Order: sequence, then C-alpha cells, then structure tokens
Amino acid sequence: MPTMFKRLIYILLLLPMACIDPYEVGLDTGEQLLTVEAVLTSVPGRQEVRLTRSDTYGSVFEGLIRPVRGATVVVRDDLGEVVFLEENSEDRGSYLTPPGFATRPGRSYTLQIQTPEGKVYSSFPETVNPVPDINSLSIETITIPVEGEENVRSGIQLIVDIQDPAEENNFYLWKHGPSVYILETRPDIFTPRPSDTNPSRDPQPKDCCIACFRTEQVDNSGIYISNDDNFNGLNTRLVAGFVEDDGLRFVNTYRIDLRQISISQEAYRFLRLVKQQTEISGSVFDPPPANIRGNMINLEDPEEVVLGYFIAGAETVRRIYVDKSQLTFAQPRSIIPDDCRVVEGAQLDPPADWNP
Amino acid sequence: MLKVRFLGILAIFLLLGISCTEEEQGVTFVTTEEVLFASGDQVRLLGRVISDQDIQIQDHGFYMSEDEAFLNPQTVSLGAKNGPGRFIGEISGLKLGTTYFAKSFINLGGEVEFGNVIELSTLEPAIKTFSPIFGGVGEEVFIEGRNFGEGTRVFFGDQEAQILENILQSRLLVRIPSPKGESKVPIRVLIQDNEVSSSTLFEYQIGTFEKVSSYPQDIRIYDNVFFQNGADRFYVGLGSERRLSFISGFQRYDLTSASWEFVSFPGLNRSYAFFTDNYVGGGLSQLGSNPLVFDPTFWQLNGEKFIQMPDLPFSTRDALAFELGGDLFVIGKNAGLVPFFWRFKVATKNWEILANGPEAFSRDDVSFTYQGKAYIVSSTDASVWTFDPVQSEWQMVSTYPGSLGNGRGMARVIGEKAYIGLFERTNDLWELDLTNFSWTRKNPMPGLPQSILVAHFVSGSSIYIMRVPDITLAGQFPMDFYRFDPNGI
Repeated sequence: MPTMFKRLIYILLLLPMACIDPYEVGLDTGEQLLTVEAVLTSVPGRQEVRLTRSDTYGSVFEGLIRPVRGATVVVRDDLGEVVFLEENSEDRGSYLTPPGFATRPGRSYTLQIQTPEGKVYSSFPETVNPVPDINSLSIETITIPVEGEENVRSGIQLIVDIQDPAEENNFYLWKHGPSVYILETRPDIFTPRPSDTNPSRDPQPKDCCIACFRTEQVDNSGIYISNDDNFNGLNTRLVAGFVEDDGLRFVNTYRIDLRQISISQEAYRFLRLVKQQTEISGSVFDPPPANIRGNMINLEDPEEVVLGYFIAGAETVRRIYVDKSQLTFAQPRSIIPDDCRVVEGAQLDPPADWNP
Repeated sequence: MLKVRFLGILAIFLLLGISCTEEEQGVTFVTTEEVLFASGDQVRLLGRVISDQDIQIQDHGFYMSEDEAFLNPQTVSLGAKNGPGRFIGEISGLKLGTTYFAKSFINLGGEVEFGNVIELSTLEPAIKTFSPIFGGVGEEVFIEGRNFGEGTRVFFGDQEAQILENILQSRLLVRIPSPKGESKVPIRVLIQDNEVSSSTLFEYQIGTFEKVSSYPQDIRIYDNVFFQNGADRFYVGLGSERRLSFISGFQRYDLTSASWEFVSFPGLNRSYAFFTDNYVGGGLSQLGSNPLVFDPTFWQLNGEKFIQMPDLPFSTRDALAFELGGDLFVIGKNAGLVPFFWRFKVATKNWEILANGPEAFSRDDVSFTYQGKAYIVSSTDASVWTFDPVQSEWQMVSTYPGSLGNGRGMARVIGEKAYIGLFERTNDLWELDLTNFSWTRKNPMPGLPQSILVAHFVSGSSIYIMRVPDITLAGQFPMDFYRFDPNGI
C-alpha cells in the first residue's frame, strides 16, 4: 500500500511537469523613428537630404525601412535665408537642394522638416568651418585576413597629406567621391545562356569590346574621421579611405575623388560614437552599446528620438589615379566573359577629364 | 548577565542608527542650451532640466530681455513639467536687428532657478528676388527674401498688395495691386518700421481700353472690310450680317465729331474681300459656299471716292493685302486652292506675280509694314516673317508668344512698336519692340474672349478696335468700339 501511494505521488508530480505553457515573448517592437541623413557642403550642386523611417525590431518581414515622402524640407542659414528642397521623384525620400546650392564657411545652417503628419523637426545649428586643402593623396596596399578563409581581402588605403590650420580646432570627415576605372572583360569567351532560339552551349565570341571606362560610387567601408588634437597646426598624413580590390578595379588604371569635409565638433562626436558602435567586435575592451542622439529635435516633443545627423561643412576634393603597378598585392583577376559595355556604368569613351 | 544583554542590545541599536543614513538632497538644475531659430521678430530656444531624480516642476520656460540684467524681461511660461528633459520655447514680437539676452528658468517648489544666459540677435529682413518681374493687376507674384515676420506689408510703389501666403518668413505670395501712375515700380516690404526695397523694378502690364462708341446699327458683322482715310475717318462695311445677308456700303466713323455716317459703295456687295487703306478687291459676291462665286472687281479709294480698276487676274477670297512703297501686295490662294503672291505696281497699273512665301499665308495671318518691309505673323506656327520687296527675301525674325486662337488677328504699328494679337476667340494683345524684337504682354481687351475682330485703326498714339462675338454665340451683342492706349495705366 505504501508503495502504491509513493508511485501515485511520483505520477502526480510528473503530471504538472509535463504541462508546459509556451511562453510568449512580448517584446516592444518600438516605433519607426525618423532618420535623417544629410551632409551639405560647399561644393555647388544638387545636394541630398534623405529621410526614412527606421525598421522595427523583429524578423525581416516585420518592417521595412520606408522613405518619408511628401515632407517639406528647408535649409535655413543664420541670416534667415531659406532654401527649399525638392523631393526627388525618382528616389522617394530623397530631397534635393536647388542646383548650385553650396554652404558658405562662417555661416551656420539648420535643417527644418515638416512631415506629412504635421510634425515639425529642426536641427541644431551647424556652423561651417573652413577646410584646408589636401596637399597630396597617396595610397598604400593593405591586406586583411579573413577568419576561416585562406584568401585574404585586400585593397588600397587612401592617405591624405594635410596642413592643419593652427588657429582653430579642426574636425575632418572623408568620403569617397565618384570613381572611374578601366574595366577589362573577355568577349572572346562569351558563351550565351542556352535558349530556345539559341540552344548552343558553345562559346560564341563577340568582336567587341574588351576595355571600357566604368563609373561607380564606392561605398565608404567605414567612417573616416579625425580631429586635430594630435597635430594641431602641423602637417600630417592620415588614412582617409579604403577601396577594396574586387579583382576588377585595379586591373589597369583606377581613379577616385576623395572628399575632405570640415565638420563641427558635435558632428565629429556623433560620428565617432557611431564608428565605435559599428566597430564593436565582441571583445571585453569594446565600449558598451549606447543610444546615440543626433542633432535633430521634434519641436513639439523634444524627447522624441530622431536618428541621424544633419552635417553642414566645407569641402575640398582631391583626385588620384592608381596604376596597377602601384599595388603591392592584387586579388586574382575576375573574368567577365562578355562585352564590357554590358556591365552597369561602363562605356567605351573615357570621361572628358580622364587624364591619368 | 542582564548587564551584558543590555549592553549587547544597546550596541545593536547604535549600529542600526549608524546604518540609517539620511537620503541626500538630489541635484536639479536648468540650462539654456541652444537658439534653434532666430528671425526678425521670433526666436525659438532650447532649454534642459537636468536632475538625478524624478521631479515635479511647477513652471519652466525662458526669460528674454534687451538688457543683460533682465530688468524688464519678456517671459515665456511653459507650465508644469514632470521630470527632467529638454523643452522648447518660442518668443514672438521681438524687434528687428536687436541684441537680446535669454535664460531658461524652472520653478521648483516655489523656488525659481535660472539657467545660463545666452546672447542672441534678431535678424534684418531683405528681399532677394521676385518673380515674375512683369505682370498684370490681380496676378500673383512670389517675393523671395528673408525674415518676413508678423505684420509684414508689401507695396508695389505706393500701392499696398494683398499677402496671400507667407511661407517660412522667406517667401511671400502676393496679389498685384492696381497701378498708380507708374508702370515700373519698386517692390517694398515693410516690417515693423523697417523697409526693404527690391533693387529691380516690377513692371506692370499696361494698356487701357476705353469705349468710345458702338456700331450704329443693331447688327453683327462678319467677313467684312475696314480701312481708314487719314487719321480720323474709319470705314467699316461690306461683309455680311451673320452670314445671312450682305451689308451694303460702309459706316464711316468720324473721330473728330464722334459720329457715324453711311457711305455707299459703287461695287457689288461682297464678303471675304482683301483690302488696305487704299484698295478693296476680290471676295465672294454670293453668300454660302455652293458654289463659290468670286468677285473679280478691284477698287481704289481715292480720297472719298471709289474708283474701279481693271479686274483682278486671279480669283480670291480671304487674301491678305498690304502696301509697300506705294505698291499693293496680295497674298493668298487662287480660287482658294493654289497659293499666290501678287504685286500691283501702281506706276504701271500692272499685276506681277511673285515667288510664293515660306508659308501659304492668307487672311488667317496678320500683317503690318515697317521701314520698307512687310511683316507677317503666321497663325499656323506663330512665326513672324519679314518680306523685303527689294530683295524679294523672306526671313523669320521672331515668334509670337501669345495665343493664336482661330487666327485672323490684328497688327498695328505706332512708332517703333507693333501691337499684335486679338486673334479669334482670344483677348491676348502683345507689344513687339521692332528695334530688338522683344515682346511685352499688354492688358487684355475687355468683352467676351470668344470675340472676333471687325475692324481696327490707328490714330495718333491710340488704336481703335471693334470686335463682335463669334458667330456661334447666339444672342444680341452690341459691337462696341474701343480706344486702346498702349501706354495707359
């Protein structure tokens, strides 16, 4: 009898253990935050302010980064002069200044946004400081080991030589401008995809063309910023960019424009924090994750989180031609078995200002 | 033993008392962070309450004053606030171009604390551009500039304009007021006691129409003839009454006496005749188009007399005629089909055929003469052609910018300006400067825009114009006779 009783107790104990209620994880998805991306400089042209709504936390299907359409966007200087930006009909969420817009050193600018919902946002004033010229631009080949892979990544680092002005505290941002390179392909080994009209799997060489000039905008593979705390008033060399060797760019001659932009101390601080956060590698020495506040504010609700930053600065541009012989390490050449003109951004004629 | 216990309990209580530390008073303060916006009469300030605890603030806001001691401050009170954080205050009604001092404040438990003081200046207004730089009364003009604050007033010369919209204090949309005496005026913007003025002048669209008479009969004339004898005798006649019956002879308007008088015509009644101030000819002597009965007769007006000339060597309706160097030129289509260009040489009284023009011109197009050349405005493509009778050359010199309607417009020359327009079913009228071929729009003619021209004459610096509603418009309409002053304001 006692044995029976013991067994009954064990069974009764097992029963509640077997009944497991699934636990619903009730995470806050968060609101889609306004995100502002704008770097306005002193180089005249149609400059862009991009407005999007951030994605919510969750699966990739839960939210999409949506452009903010139909907003009224203006840039106002400290004299009260207002420039109205026009939404790009081909790229929603992108707002363009009038042609020829340029910031002026010494002036400060604010970005004002009114969304279609009627919310009004303003940036803090961004003062434009003068930017020194780039004395020279050079390259260094670097290789980057890839964990678990035998082949290394490689590319060129862009090194600027600048004379920092002594009388002021300077903050620098470098961005890639447009680049052009001679793209070499192999139309002689062109093999079309078999189709009903052309079922052959044999190579069908094309007569043209093996070399084109390809224009592309290389993304900055990192944030390149600096302040002059360590070189105020001195001549210095700084790493200002990196262009990865994809097996095509450095086969012949490569050209890139490097933009050097003077930014405010606050913008520098913002970018430095973003750089730190994006470069977290998981080590114990990493900075803790942080909530980085930009310089945009909702006038009705100052506590609303607005992502991004409105940067206004002065800009100088330096161009460099890189010959394949200047690289100390190159990736194996990528083969495109087709006419070079079929590659996006490629054309036969060199740009009018092509002068290696 | 009891003593030991007592001392032990006392020690425990003492230790407890030591561990019960009093909570420290938290730190709360306010800062004046930034001037987010400053215009001529308005600023927007950003402040921030910083605290290490969840506080209840009775009031917060900003003080603003012209003196750093804040002796007579303007206060913006934003009311109660829960907890620390940023706040924004907006202050309006400030003086233009004035230095101010601002500081934030909080009222915490009846105790008012102030933030740091910042110095700022309100801005000065300015006009950058305006567009269009030319326009008519009631049209809209955008004025681009800066710091157009509350109470902004806009003047065109001395005439105040209605402000329709003030966009971000930088773009004013205004309605053009009536002019007062001058056709070119500066645009002035008045804000508080500060006035800014445009460096370029706004030009009014001018030209006035004054009704001087009406046609003496209660009829509507179409496809008629008109010409003038001297500067004060205008003839309107022939053609038809609504294409139902021919009109005999002419009505002559005497400008001096402002009176109408009937003048008979010795030839056949006709529609679609060609004419100049000295000749009348051709046209159709029967109403309707089945069949077309062409009138071959050709008449010269000599003083007050019509003298019949030899019949025309061509059949025509709706031909365009002009005189150059004393000779008559007729351009149109023979029997309405084959283009022709004839010259009637007055000296020999012979007709001479010329090479056809660059287009098949007809009375749908308009012509005028100036300095020995004929000008024809094509109603097909608005091109303006010159014809040099000496060189027999055609040259395109300009393009008419207005509406061509259904063709059959007007062109009259006064001095170095030609006045072109009033094509059928439009009331556009343009001035062409014949020295540089620039166009200036004139005020539109009053009356129904669906009108067509009956007659037009030049006397002195004025043009006299009569129009009638298009034949498709039913009803009785008076044929009013207007004097147009191209420079009238």
